[in-house]
Amino acid sequence: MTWWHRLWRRRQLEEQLNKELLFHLEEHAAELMARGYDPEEARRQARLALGGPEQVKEECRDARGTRRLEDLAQDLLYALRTLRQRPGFAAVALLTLALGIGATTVMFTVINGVLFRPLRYRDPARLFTLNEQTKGVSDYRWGDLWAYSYPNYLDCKNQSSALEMAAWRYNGGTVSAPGEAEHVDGVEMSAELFPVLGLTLERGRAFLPDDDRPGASPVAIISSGLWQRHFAGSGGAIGKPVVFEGKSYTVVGIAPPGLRLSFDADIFTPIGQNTNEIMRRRDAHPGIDVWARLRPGATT
Amino acid sequence: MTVKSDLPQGTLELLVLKVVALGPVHGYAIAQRLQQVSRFVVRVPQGSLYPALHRLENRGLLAADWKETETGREAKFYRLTRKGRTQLEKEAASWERLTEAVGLILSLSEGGAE
Repeated sequence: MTWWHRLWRRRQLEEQLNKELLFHLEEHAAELMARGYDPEEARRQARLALGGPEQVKEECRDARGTRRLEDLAQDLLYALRTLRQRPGFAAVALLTLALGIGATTVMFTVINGVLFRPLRYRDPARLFTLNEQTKGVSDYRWGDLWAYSYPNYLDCKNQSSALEMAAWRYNGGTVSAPGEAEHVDGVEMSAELFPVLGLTLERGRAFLPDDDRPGASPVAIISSGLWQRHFAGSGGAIGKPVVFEGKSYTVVGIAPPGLRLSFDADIFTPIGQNTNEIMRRRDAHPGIDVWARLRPGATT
Repeated sequence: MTVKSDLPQGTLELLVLKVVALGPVHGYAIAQRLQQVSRFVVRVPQGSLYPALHRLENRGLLAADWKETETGREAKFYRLTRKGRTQLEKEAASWERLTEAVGLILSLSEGGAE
């Protein structure tokens, strides 16, 4: 018989225990009466000989080995009764528990998402974000750490043997054709970004180093969402033009669904084709994020 | 009135096993039997008899059924299981070794040790 089975049969066992002890007392009393004791005295003697019936029962329950669970069940019942008698207290206690559990859950969810869960990119332990350290300019929040200037990024990228580096910057604007015009978030990125993150495209090709320089023919990678909205998800979208900020780009690839950088971008263009003056200055920091992956064999 | 002795620790279970080994028997009869056989020298604490019975049952050394007595009353009859019989033989043997050894020591003649 297992303990839970015994617990299940608790009432039955309890009745049997009563019956067994009662039988003992009555047999003993009957024998004493046969020896000439009057009934009252005989029963008293029998009870004395056995000892306190409650104590004996308690010891028998102990011997059965379900004692602790029975106590627990009784404690729980007592707690429930008490709570029902004092609904105000019960409500406060429940509310306290609910708020406590809720707050803990929220904190865990946030920390789990932000700190514990690995990035959704391949081999995330080898990914880094880089900042440029600039003398003389200081900021209350970041100190002398800044986003890269584009020429500094190019120099670092070309001279680093341990890191494969990629750059990207925000570049939102209007997609006006095909289909209905809409404002989208976009990214100017170096050709290395998708390989560094270990991403493969849904369709088409990633940017080549040849795309990523001034004067190359304008090409774009579009998000799966934009592909659905403006090209109805058609495979023929590759090679078609998309007009972004009034300039026509040839679609060369479709990004994988669910791709997120720091935000959901819908259109990607090569950063090297940006000939804006600010991109040529070493003292300008036009919001370029630099992400890097340790090359095979390199360690930190 | 004779002076009664308390049972040495752990012997109650051995005695109970022995009495039950003689045939299915209920608690009250065990108490009586122990008292009679020991010629009232051993004081069997009735209060600890039932916990002992339940402990032995719980350990699987005894089994119990509810049966009618000769007087037509229902009582819980204990009987020895196979495991209980093994245990009884083991404990009886060790008890005999112990009493034999104690007896040997007590029979040393005084002045015999030099």
